[in-house]
Parts: sequence; structure tokens; C-alpha cells
Amino acid sequence: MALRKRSISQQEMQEEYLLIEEAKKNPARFGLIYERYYQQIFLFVYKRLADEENTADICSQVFLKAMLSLKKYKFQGVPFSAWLYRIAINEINQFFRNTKSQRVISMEGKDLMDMAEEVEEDHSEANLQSLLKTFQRLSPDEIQFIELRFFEKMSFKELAAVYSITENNAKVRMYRLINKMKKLMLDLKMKQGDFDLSLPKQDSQH
Amino acid sequence: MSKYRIHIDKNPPSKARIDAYKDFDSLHKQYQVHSRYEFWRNLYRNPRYFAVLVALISVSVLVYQSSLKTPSTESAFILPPIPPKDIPLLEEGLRPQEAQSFTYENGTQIHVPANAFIDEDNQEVSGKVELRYREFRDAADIFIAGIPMDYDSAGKSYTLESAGMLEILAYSAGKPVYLKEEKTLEVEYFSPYKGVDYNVYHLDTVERNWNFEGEDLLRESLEESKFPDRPALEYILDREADTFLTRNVRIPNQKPGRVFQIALSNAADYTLLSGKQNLIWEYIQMPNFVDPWEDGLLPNAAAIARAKPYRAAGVFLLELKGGGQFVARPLLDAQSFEVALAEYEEKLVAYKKALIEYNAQKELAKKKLVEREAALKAYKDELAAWEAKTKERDSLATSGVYRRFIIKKLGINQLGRKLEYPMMQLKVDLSFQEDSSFGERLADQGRRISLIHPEINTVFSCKKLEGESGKYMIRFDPRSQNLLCVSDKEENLYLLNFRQISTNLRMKFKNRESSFSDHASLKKHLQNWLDKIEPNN
Repeated sequence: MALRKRSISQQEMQEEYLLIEEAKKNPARFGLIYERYYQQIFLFVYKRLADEENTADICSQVFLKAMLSLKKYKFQGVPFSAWLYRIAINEINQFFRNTKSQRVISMEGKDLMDMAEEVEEDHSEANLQSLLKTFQRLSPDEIQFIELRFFEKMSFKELAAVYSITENNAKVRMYRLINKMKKLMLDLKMKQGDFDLSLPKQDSQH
Repeated sequence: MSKYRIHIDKNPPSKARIDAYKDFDSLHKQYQVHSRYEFWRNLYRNPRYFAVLVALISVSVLVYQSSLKTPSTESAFILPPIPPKDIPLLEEGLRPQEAQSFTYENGTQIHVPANAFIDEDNQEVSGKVELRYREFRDAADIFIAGIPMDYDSAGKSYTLESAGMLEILAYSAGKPVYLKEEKTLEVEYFSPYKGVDYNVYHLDTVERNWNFEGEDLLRESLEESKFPDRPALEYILDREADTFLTRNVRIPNQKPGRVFQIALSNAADYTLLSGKQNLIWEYIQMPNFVDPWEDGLLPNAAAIARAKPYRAAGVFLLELKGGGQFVARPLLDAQSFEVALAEYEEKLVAYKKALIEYNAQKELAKKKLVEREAALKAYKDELAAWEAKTKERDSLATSGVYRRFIIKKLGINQLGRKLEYPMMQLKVDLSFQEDSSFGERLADQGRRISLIHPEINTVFSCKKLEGESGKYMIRFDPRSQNLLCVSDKEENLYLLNFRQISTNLRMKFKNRESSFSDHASLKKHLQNWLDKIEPNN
């Protein structure tokens, strides 16, 4: 499976670390971090809410909370964004608890195909549909984990930082989740009529 | 109702739209308001903060008081953790006018030439000489005798790993005597260590460093020592690479959809399409639908289609009047068909290029995987051969070798080699039970914190970090069962066996041990810990 990795170089991370240290002393310097990550966090939240106004509100809360607790932030060898994602996830969960509205899963078609590869399925329409149905059977926490890994392209190190677990735990958790999805897909296939038994037309890339 | 709404390929808000929500000034103002009252609000909400404040003040007072303590005097260089349980010296009388040889319990032989000793006035010793001797055969001995193994060579710090160490002293009429400059003692030392890279070092207690004295003499005869090292397999540890090798290959974006124009019979049915003449469309290839170009249905200037929504928002299923249906998305923002067509062709070229690169990368990944598997197989073969050879050697080998070397100065001499072992280095807090000032107190007492790990015959000393209360820098091998050892000035011993390390490191000793009848019982106790049968842990 191909993951388009979001990367930040060691030098950028070092610069970011210095910037955060400055911002701890002078909160006005947080503006540079805000500029750097606003769009990223906005899109992250938007993909889960599909509502611009609410997204903007949550973004404000995320950055305000980040600013207020910046002094507690400890560099863990991953981009600062991992910390912002953690706050954003908490805020999003809080939003859904308060509003009881329906969660949104946003993805690109190729992300779905990546996922299909991960659960060892081909890209046939029937399989993609089964995969989408499988999502409906996962808990919000599990969906979130999948989103971060496959749709946000987070490394296991970043995932570990977001969830405050070890990198190995993140790998194990992902491994179990994929296994669960495989089982759910198999269940779906066992139910006749729930998927297309005819051979699908292959979607050529050429 | 389904649990989640699923959006596929839905366009997110543009950058300009997102930027419109950005407002750092307002955020900063909110921050100022919150942060101004945060402390008092917390204090109001939680009176326990008062308790924390009191505790902080108490700690500050304690820290201040401890900073007023007079600094400890320079600690002893050879520092046995429990002096009464130090390794005893064996004594032999000799007539200095005659060459004599002595054989000790462990098989070590010392050859003393005739007329080898002088007294402190540089006069040859004629009276009876008493030779005092002891050996430090393993890390436990080195720790019990309190011998420092740090070696400073041209400003670079090493630890010496020992293949054998001994101390020889000589006395006449109760006073120390010395070796003449041109005289040397010859030692045959029975050692279990067979490496060929050991040299002779003498411990200079004045300069507080080991001095290089020369090489041992049996170097060339130790054929067995040239035994190859165990083959290394670094990449097997790279689990990420093992599992996700192909993840570095980037799949190109989806093939761009062909751009076309078609008249609609029911455009008025949809708000999105109604009133738009000559709509431009982007074809979306989907399984189970026709490809109108492959099937010869398009281009056709007279073609008319009927549109109906298809799954995702903004996507339509077009049914051609003459038969055949396919999926397409209207390009509502397109300037003109020519421009849209030009953009499509540009994307197509980029896609084809990316696809070529992707296929090349995928081939490369496959090739690498094959190479890795071949390397792994080669490694396994090599390892099997090495293990067979090791087994054969072990079945033939004796338990050690005699190493012959020259001693030019009395005192402590060893066969050592410089160790630059790739170790983890960490700052640790030392505490005993709940006493967190333990580490600082040891530093005040000038105690040495030692670390032993069973596979290396040495003792690593842990450095106290200046200005950091109770903190030490330890170097260790995270794959080994390491033993941290220290004693206090009341001659209690503290031991901690550890392997797993977290980065937020607190080393907490659990027991104080002091009931050792002699040096042998102390050594046995240490050995038990090193053999992982430590009590109370």
C-alpha cells in the first residue's frame, strides 16, 4: 500500500522547536505557529464536520487551548502538529457529544483504494462498497485511528504522540484494527445479496 | 440511518476561504483574558493548590539549605564500596638477591628477577622482601576493590575492558620498596579472555589515570582469538522497513477524466445545470459503465444525454439517447472548452509521467525486496556456519589462555582494551525507596555510582551532573541486564537490576544490604544479582 507521507525535515523540526520555546516566553510569537498550522488543522476538523462555521469555532478553541497550555508542551521528536491534532481530536469528540450530530468520514478515492490494499482486497467496486459498509461497523475511536493513519498519513511515531502511547502499541493497535476489518468484510461477503457476485469490470489505470 | 456520512473526493474549502476565518489578533486577546485569570481561577476552584504552594515553598527552603552545605572534599581515587570487605592481599616472602617465581591459586605465575628492588632512598634492598598480591578477575572484583576503569587518552574518555588485572606491592621492614628502572616482573596470567587487542596499563594514582605500558607478549600465538565475530544483521532490526517496504512507492493521482461537451435533454431538472448552455463535463471512469470513446459513442456532435445524480454530490450518470451510460462531473467553473481541454491534456501528460515513475519505483521496490530476501538467506547461511564453527571451537577450547606480559611498575596493572561501546546515555534520578534526596546525598559523600553489565568485564562509573540535584549520567546497554551498584558511607550496599528503560528515568533502589561476613560473601551476593537471582526484586 502506498502512503503519501507528510514529512517535516529535522532542520524544520529544530526551527519549530526554537519557535515554540520563543512562544513559551512571548505568546505573540505563537502567531507564526498559528499561521503554519491553521489551514492544516482547519482541514482536519472540516473533514470530520463538513461544516465551515463549526470548524472555524473548533479551530479557535484548539489554538486557544494550545496557547494556554503551551508551557506544558514537551518536545517528543515529532512535529508540533501532533500535539495540535490531539487537542483537535478532543475538541471534535466534545462537539459530537454535545450536538449528537452525525460524524463525517472524508477521504479521497485513492485513500480508499490504499485501504483496500491494506485489507488485501482489490479495487473492484463491490469491494470498495464492502469497505465503506465496514466503516459503519467501527466505533468512532477506531474510525479516528484509521483516518489519522490512512487519510492523514501519520507515521506510527506521530500516532503514538497523538494518543500518548508507544510506537509499538500504535502498530499493534493498527494491526488489530486491520484484522477486525478483514473479518467484518468477510462477514459481509458471506451474506448473500449484500455484494455483487458478478465479476467486476477491472478499473484499468491506463 | 448509517452511523457515519461518507464523503469521497469532496472538495474542501479553498485556501482563501480558510484564510478568511484566520484571526490571530482575536485569539491573542482571548488568550490574554484567559491567562490573566487562569491562575486565580484554578486557585479558587481547587484549594489544594494552596497545599501545592506550601509544598513548593518548603521544597525551595530545603533546596536553599542544601545549597548552603559545604562542598564535599575530593573523593578517594581507589574507593572500595565496603572497605572492610575489600579483596585481601596474599603475602609471600622472598630473598631479593635471588630470582624467584610464584604460582597463585588461579594459575597466575610471577617471575621476579634477582636484585630487582630499591627503597625510597634509591638504595638496593638487601633484607627480606614481602610481596603482596591480589587479582581482580571479574567485574564484581573490580567493583569490590573500587578500582576506577575510566581512561583518558589524549583528552578522549574511554572505559577499559579488562582481560585480567592484578595488584602487586612489595615491602621491606614494613616500608614500601620499588622496582629498579631496568628490572621488570614477568607475569603469566591465566585469563578466560582471548582477544588480541589488549594492552598493558598501569594505574597512576597520582595522575588519576591509567598509563599505557606496552603490549602483551602472547598476542601472535593466540590463533583462537582471531575467531570471526558473529555476523551482524542490522536490517533485521528495522521493523518498519521489514513490514512496510513498499509504502515508499507513491501511487500517482487518479487518471484525469476526459473533457467533453454534450447537450442535455433534462438540464432544467437540476438547479446546478439549468440555464447553462454547452456545459463542459469531465468523464469519470467507473467499472460496469461504458467508455463512450472506446465504444464509439463519442465524439458525436448530435449526441443528447439525460442526466441523473450519481452517488456523490455534483456527479451525474449520463444516459445517451442512443443507449449507453457513464458517469461524469460538470465543470461549472471552466472558462471554455478549449481551456478545459488544454488543462486535461496537461494533466494527462503529468499522469502518464507519474505512472512511468510509479512503475519504475514499484519495480525498484520489488527488486529491493528480492535483494533483502537474498541477503537474509545469505545471512542465515553465514550465521549457521558461524554457529557450527563456534560449537566446534567451544567443544575443543580450554577455559582460557595464558597471557604473558611485563610489569614495569608495582601497583595495579591490567590487560585492558579501550571500550567505545555503543551505549545509551541517559540522565537518571536516583532515589532510595521514597527518599528522593538519596542521589544528592551520595554525591555529597563522594560515593561512586557503578554500573556492571555481565557481558563486559569492566565497571562503568556514572557521572554526577553538576547543578542538577541528584541526577547522574549513566551509560548502559539497553539489551543487557545491567546492575547499578552503590554504597553509602555507612557501608550499606544498594543494588538495582534493570533492563527496560523509559526516557523519563527514575532509578529507585529498594533495599539496603549490609550483612556480609567477608569479601567472598559480598562477591557471591553480587554474582547472584548478576545471574538474575537477586532477592527482593
